[in-house]
Amino acid sequence: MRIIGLDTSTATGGVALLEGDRLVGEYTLNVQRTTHAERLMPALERVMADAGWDPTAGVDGIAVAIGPGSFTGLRIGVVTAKALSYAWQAPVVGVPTLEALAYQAGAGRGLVCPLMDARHGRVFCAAYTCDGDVPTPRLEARLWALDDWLTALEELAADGSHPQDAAGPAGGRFLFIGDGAEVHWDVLVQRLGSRAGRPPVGFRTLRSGAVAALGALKLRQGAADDPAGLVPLYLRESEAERKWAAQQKHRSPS
Amino acid sequence: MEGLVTALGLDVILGIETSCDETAAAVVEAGRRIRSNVVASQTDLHQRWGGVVPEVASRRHVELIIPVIDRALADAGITLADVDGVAVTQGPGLVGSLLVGIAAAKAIAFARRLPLVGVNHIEGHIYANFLAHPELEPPLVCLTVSGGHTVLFYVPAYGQYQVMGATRDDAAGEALDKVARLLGLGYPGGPAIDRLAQGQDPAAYDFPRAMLDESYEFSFSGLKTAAVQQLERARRRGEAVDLPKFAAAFQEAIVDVLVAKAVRAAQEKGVAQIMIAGGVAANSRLRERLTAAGAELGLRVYWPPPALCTDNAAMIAAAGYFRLQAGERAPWSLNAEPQLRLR
Ligand SMILES: [Zn+2]
Repeated sequence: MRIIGLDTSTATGGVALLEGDRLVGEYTLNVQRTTHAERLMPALERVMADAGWDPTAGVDGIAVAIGPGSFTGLRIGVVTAKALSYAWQAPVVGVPTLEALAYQAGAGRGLVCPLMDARHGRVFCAAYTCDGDVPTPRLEARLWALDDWLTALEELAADGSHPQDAAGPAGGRFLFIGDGAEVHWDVLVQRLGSRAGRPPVGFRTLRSGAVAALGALKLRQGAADDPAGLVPLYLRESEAERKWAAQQKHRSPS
Repeated sequence: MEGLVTALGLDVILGIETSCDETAAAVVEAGRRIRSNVVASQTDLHQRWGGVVPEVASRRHVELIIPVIDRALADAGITLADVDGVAVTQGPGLVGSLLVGIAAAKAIAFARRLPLVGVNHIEGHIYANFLAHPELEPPLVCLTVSGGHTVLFYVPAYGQYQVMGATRDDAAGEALDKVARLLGLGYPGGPAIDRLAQGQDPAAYDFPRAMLDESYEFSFSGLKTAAVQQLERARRRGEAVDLPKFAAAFQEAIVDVLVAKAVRAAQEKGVAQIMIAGGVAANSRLRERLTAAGAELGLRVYWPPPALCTDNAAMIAAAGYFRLQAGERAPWSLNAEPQLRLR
């Protein structure tokens, strides 16, 4: 089974090829001075050519990180995935970016806490427990104030209802992953001390290989998306919509 | 020529256009025959803001792009296997919107091993006229007027463009939209003003004409300021504003400038044809006045049918066809160019 993994959620981004259970190609884009618009397709062409995958032969599936992340970046990845799926008649699956980060963090280390920086003290984050399969959500993915999310994490760990929480064998440890963990690492350590951990260098931001692998799992479970309807998981309304909603609230007679 | 085109295998072009708030796809054969032309308008979506909100438009394009492409192929009675090339709007336009069409076009071209070409949106508007009028050929002068652009071109031959002048500030359609909003006529404002102004005396209100001397440049922002001041003055004096006459006078000020410059440009270049393109080419007063002014000087005036005036992908496919025939190919790194100029 040949699966393409695409990630354009952040400036890191990447393209990966998964053949069965083997990662056979993976490029990190790191678009600091360029854009995903310019880099994604050339990278896909290159990685496919290097792996000996013939584009005319198509693939068995396309997995794409759907967000949260940069709005424009997400659209480039999602639309590319939709259009590849449409043109190859291959199934496509959207993989939430935070879930892919949790999957990448791996199994058995307490609560896995992916976070992506959203500026102004806010983070896109969630919490999962992982056992090597599709991560199990423990706190829903959304935009949080960093402090509130940390409080929610501590409460969750203290409740002990899960073997990997405080009462469990992993002893209430937290594994932080994602660019938000890099930005806010000092705060995390200050608050949680030695209970806060992070993956080794090179695995702290999303690898497109993880997107491909988690996508392959989901496809095997029959979780393909409709290519026409697939949209990014923005987790945040556009500014115009936020202002409009606020105005309507203000105007309503109640 | 016909045989050569078929031999090159570049007959059937899929066009994709997402530069503003229309998600469009079309299939055009041999650059002149429209097999399908699908446009999903977002006008309703943007009405509450009185104009296009870029982020909202981009999000909608993502939802519509595949269904619109699918519909264009179905309407043409073909599948992707019958497509010989892909043409996509590269700019000018809203960057977030452009990127949706470009990402889709690149992925389809890559997956199907099809040649890809980026098309200038303004050039597309010019080709809308070639699609509609098979007998029309350069040399000519083209006035492209819409909510996004106001440009006067000299077109000496196919694929050659000389910009004679463009707007320094607001586009003509933008000025119409802004005043329509002031008058509470809704969005898009151009058609509303056109309707309201029908048969009205345009001399009842006085608006400035920014002729900018002998140049072919335009300026419409002062006109909007004048409208605000007139409405404010009327309000202070407690006078009722005659909306139809006000709309007619405002529209006339824009049309006067457009007609004067287009006719003068045609005379300077010694051409016998003027084409108007873009959304404002649908304005009935502009057509009427330009046709009359042209007739006096032996100039023929052309405009596309309504479906080809506003943004569409058939015009992009037609323009792309000629570029592909000329051997032009876009790389996989093709990017949106929000400020793309026509060369
Ligand atoms: Zn246009």
